Amino acid sequence: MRVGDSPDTLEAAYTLYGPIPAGNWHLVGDGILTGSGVTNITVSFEVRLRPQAAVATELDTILLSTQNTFQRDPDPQRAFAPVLFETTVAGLRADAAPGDRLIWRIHALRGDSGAMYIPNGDGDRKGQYPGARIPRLDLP
Amino acid sequence: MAMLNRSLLPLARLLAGWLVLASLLSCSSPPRTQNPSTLWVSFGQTELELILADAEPPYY
Repeated sequence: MRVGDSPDTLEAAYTLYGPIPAGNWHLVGDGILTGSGVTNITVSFEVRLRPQAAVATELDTILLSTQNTFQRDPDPQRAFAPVLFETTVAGLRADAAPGDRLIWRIHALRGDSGAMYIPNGDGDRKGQYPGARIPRLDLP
Repeated sequence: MAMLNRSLLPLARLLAGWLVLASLLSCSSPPRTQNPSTLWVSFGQTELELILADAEPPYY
C-alpha cells in the first residue's frame, strides 16, 4: 500500500454473526515501511460495517477511525523491522445482521514519496524483533 | 446360537452407527454463532490480499 499510488488502500473483511456493541476497540497496527530513502508514512485505520449485499463502500458505516505516523528506524540494519503501533479507540455500535461484513480499511494518507506500509505478517520474526505483532483488532 | 446372533445383528449395527456418530459430534467443534473477540490480519497469496481471521495466523 503506497502513498499516492495504486493501491493506496487495503481492506480485510470478516463475515459477522451478529451485532457488535458500542465500546472500546483495541487495535494493533504494526507495519513494515519500504521505499528507497523513506523515513515516514501516515496511515489511517478505519473499522467499517458493510451490509452483506453491498458491492462497494457507499453503504459502509464507519465504526471507528484513527491514524498514526510510522517512523522508520534510521538504523540500516533495522530498515525492515516492524514499526509498532497500538491504540484503543471508542467505536459505535454495529447493528450487524449475520452475513454483514466487518471491514478493516487501511489507507496511506501521506508520507515520503514512494513510502509503502505493509501490515506486519511476520510477528516478531521468531524473536528477531521482540514485541512485534501480527496486526489485530480486539472487539468491545 | 447362530440364530440369536443373526437377530442381534441389526441392533449391533445400530449401536455401532450411534457410537460413530457420537464420536464425530464430540470431536468436531460446534458451529460459531457469535462474533470472535479478536480478529487478526491474515495474508492471501500476496501482501495486498488480506482477510480477517478469527485465529492467529502463521507468520507470512
